Amino acid sequence: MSETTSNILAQDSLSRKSLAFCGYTGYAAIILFIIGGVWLGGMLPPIPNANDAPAELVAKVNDNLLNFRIGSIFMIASFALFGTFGAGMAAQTRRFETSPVFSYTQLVFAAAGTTIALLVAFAWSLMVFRPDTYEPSILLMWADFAYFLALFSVPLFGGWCVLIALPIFFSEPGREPFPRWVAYVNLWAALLFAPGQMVIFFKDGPFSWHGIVAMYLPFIAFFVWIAIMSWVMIKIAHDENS
Amino acid sequence: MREKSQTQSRIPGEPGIWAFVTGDLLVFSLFFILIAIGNQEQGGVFSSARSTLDLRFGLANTLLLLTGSFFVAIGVERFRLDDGRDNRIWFRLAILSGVIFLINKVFEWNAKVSDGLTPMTNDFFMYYFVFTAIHAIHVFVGVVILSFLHKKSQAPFTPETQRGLESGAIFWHLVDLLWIMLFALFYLV
Amino acid sequence: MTWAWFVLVAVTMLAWWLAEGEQKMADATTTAIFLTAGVKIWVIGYQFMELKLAPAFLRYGFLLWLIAISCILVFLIP
Repeated sequence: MSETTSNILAQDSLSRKSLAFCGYTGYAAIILFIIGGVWLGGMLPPIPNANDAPAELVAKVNDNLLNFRIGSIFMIASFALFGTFGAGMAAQTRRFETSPVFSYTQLVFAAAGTTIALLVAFAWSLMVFRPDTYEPSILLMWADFAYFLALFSVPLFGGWCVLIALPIFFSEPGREPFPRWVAYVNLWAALLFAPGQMVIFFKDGPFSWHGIVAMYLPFIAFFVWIAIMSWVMIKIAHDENS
Repeated sequence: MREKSQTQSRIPGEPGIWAFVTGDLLVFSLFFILIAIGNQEQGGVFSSARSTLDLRFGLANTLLLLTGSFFVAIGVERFRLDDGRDNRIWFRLAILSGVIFLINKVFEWNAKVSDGLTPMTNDFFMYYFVFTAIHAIHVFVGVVILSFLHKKSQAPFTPETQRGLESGAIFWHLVDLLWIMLFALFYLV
Repeated sequence: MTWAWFVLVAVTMLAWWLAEGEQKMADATTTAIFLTAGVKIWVIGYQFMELKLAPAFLRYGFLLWLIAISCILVFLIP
């Protein structure tokens, strides 16, 4: 493909606007999660704990019922936007590929990641739907499910980051879909997600799904990663020379 | 144009790898501090658990990584000399040291597990297994990167290739560096 | 480069010997262990990672981190 059609956005205002749109949806996802997961939903910091007795969890849920329910709605909205966010990055990668290998793999991982995230919000909402009808241990399972989906999925979310970094490293210098520092940031993000895989071994302590290393690190790193990549997409969209 | 060792300072590798190194060091610093706090709060548990670790494994692993780093450093230096020699041997030796490290680790973990010591046994072993596992993943990634460097070291000299080699080497040295601290915290203290 | 490796190995053996022995002076040994670890890490950074060629901020930043983490750890480990 020629330079002028594939690599210069300057003449193509739809492509610019599309990429910027995807970047802004990333910002929106973060804000929606802050409202739905942090403020209302009790996901971060986690109100449930991995070592809660089932009855304890039922009590916690009942104490926060309305907040958790409204929070779940905001979370679903946030997580759905992972799709647009991911597609934007894939599209930008696509512009620099003649054979769209990495953009395809990024799309696959973005779709899977979005689905997993949506399931997180579903699990959370089911946890608070009829807490007194379900067996208490079923509520605990919904909490476990939500956090396991988010944290135990390192090869997926970490892999997504690696698939963004690799095409940058493999391209000719000067013809990279994103600046080289973006590749390193993605590798670092993958590293920070990695401890999440440990949640299967522990129900308490720093490596449990409410723990500082296995939960806080990956969650915070994830949303910081979205913020950085969104910023990059918006910058590329507005940069006359890209 | 070749970049000889010069009086003017330059960033070895490229800035991005140093950003990554900084990030990794920060994360592992958190890990080191967690181990130290655990040691402070449960000194008895930690010292008796620590005494079950086989110092010979730890020592062997430390020497393996140090020697691997040495080979990588030589390999990069020789590449810069650009005198037509085959520099791949250095990277092969480093890959070997990394692989032996990993095999060693598996044996060591296996030995602990057959003694009934698992990540769930106590906090010392929780940290020991989890952090050496995360480090081992770094070693594995390092070996993969070394295999790329191995190939690159035969490429014609260009500043870009030099920077790429240096960046990969810096990652390997980071892996070595992290182990030094883990070795001290888990085996020596 | 070779001398760096010799230094590193020597220091490693020293630290191992320190740890093997019966330490009555636990604190001094702990400090010594982290001192040797610190020296090793410095040599790796300076020689192998070639910080000796790097701009001052990178070299001093590394040194600063090394000193900080060593002090924190020596302080925390009783």
